[in-house]
Amino acid sequence: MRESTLVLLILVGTILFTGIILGATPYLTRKNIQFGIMLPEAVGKSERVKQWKKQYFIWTVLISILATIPLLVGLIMDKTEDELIHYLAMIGAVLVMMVVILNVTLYFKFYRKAKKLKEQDSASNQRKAEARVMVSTKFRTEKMAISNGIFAAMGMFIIVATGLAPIVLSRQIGAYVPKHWHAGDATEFVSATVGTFVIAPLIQLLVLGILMFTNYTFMVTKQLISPKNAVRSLEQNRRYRLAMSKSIVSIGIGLLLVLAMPQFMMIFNVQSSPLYMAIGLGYMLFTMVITFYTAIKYGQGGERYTPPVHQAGLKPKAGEMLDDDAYWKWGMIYVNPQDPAIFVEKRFGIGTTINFGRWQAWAITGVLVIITVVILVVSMLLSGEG
Amino acid sequence: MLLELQPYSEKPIYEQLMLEIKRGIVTGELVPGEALPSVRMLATDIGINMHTVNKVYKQLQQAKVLVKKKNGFIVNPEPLKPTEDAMTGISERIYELMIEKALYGITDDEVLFLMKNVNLTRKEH
Repeated sequence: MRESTLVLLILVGTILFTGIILGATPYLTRKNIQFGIMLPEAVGKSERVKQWKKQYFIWTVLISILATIPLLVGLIMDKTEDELIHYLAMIGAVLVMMVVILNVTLYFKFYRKAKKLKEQDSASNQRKAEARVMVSTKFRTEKMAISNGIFAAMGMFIIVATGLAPIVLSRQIGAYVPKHWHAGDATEFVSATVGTFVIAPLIQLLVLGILMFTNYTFMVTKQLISPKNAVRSLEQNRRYRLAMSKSIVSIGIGLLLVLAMPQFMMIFNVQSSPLYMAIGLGYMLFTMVITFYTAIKYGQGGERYTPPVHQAGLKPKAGEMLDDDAYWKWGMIYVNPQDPAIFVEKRFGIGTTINFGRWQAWAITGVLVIITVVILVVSMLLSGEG
Repeated sequence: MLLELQPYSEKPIYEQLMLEIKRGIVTGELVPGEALPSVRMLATDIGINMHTVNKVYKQLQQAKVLVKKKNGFIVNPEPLKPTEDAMTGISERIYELMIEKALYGITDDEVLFLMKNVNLTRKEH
C-alpha cells in the first residue's frame, strides 16, 4: 500500500466516523435530555423531536461525506506522492475542524428549538417542583471501573518493556537507526543515542497517565439516577461506567502497544514495515468498533441498556430528575459553583464533563492545555531537527 | 440504601437527609455496622454543600445513630436505646400533634389507622 493511500484511508475514515458518531449523539443521550435541554421523556418520543434527531443525523453525516470530497479530489490531481501526502495532511486537519464547527452550528439550531419548546410548556415548572434526587449509599462500593492499579500494572509492564528493550537488546542496535518510515520504507536515519530511545516510553507514560485519569473519572462522576425507576437506573449507570472503563483500558493498552512498535523497529533496524501500517490501521478500526459498540449498547448513563437482573412490571414512580438547565450554558458547559461535584455526566454526548463552577475544572483544563502545547512545541522542535 | 431527597420541598435538605438515613436503618436498608459514604462523596452525589452532610453525620453521631470510625461513619452496630434527648424530642413532637388532633377532633382510632398506614419502605422502586 502506498503511504498516501493509507493517509487518505485514515482521514476519510476519521471524518466519516466523526460525522456518524456526532450525528448519532441525540440517539445516545439520556431520554429526558434533548439537545441539551431537559424535557419530559414523552416529549423526547414525540414526532417533532424524532424529526429533529433525524434531521440532525442526516445533516451531520451529509456534511462529513461532503468533507471527504476535497480529499478524494487529491487522488486525481497531478501530484507526486510527497505532494499528495502534504496536501492530504494539510487539508485533512482543516476538514475535520470544519465538520466539527458545522456540527456545533447545527446543534445550536436544535438547542434553540428545544429551548423554545420548553418555554412554551406550561407544566415545566410543575415538573421542576417534583424533582427528586436519588442517591445510593452503596454506589461507590460497587465495581464501577477496572481498577487503576490493574490498568497501571498492565501499562507499566508494556512501558518498562519498551524502555528496557534497547538496553537488553543493545547488541542488536546499529550506529544508525531508522527514524522515519515512508511508504513502509525507512527514509531517515539517526545516530543511536539514549535520547532516541527514551521518547517512546515517555510518550507512553503520558498516554497512560491521561487514560488512567479518564478511567478515574468514571469512579467519581456524580450519580445521576432517574427517580422513575431508581433501582434499574442505578444498575444501568453502574454497567455503563464499567463498560466505558473497559473500553478506555482496552483502547489504552492497544495504544501503548502501537506506540512501542517504532522502538522495536529501531532496535531491529526494520527498514520496511507494511506490518506497522497494517497494525496502525487495524488499531484505528479496533478503536472505532469499541467506541461504536459501547455508545450504542449503553448510551449515556446506560439508559439504552437493559440490565439482566431487572424486576419487570414495576410501575414507574412519580418524580422527575432535578432540572438544572440553568447551570448548563448552551446545554453543553456546566457551571455550578454550588455543586461540589467536579465531574458530572455530559448532557450532549457520552461520558463525563467538568463543572466549571469549581476551580479544579479550570486546573484540569490548564494542565490539558499545557500538555497539548508542550507536545506541539516538542514535536515541532523534533521535526525541525530532522 | 437509596436516599430520596426533594430539593424543592419546604423541608430543608438537611432534615430530609437526616430522616432518610434514620428511615434506612428502620427499614433495614442500612444495616448495623454498614459504612456510609464519605462526606465529600455524598455531598458530591447529592449536589449539596459538604458542611450540610458533615452536620447531618455529626448530629446523628451525637444521637448515637452513627458511630465515627477511622475511615468514616458507620451505622451504630449496637441496638439503640432511647436517650434522654431523643425522648424529649419525641414528646415535643407528640405535644404538637396532640394539639392538632384535638383541634380537628380526630379520634384515637383514626390516629391508629394513620399510623398503620405509614409506608416506611418504598417498594415501588
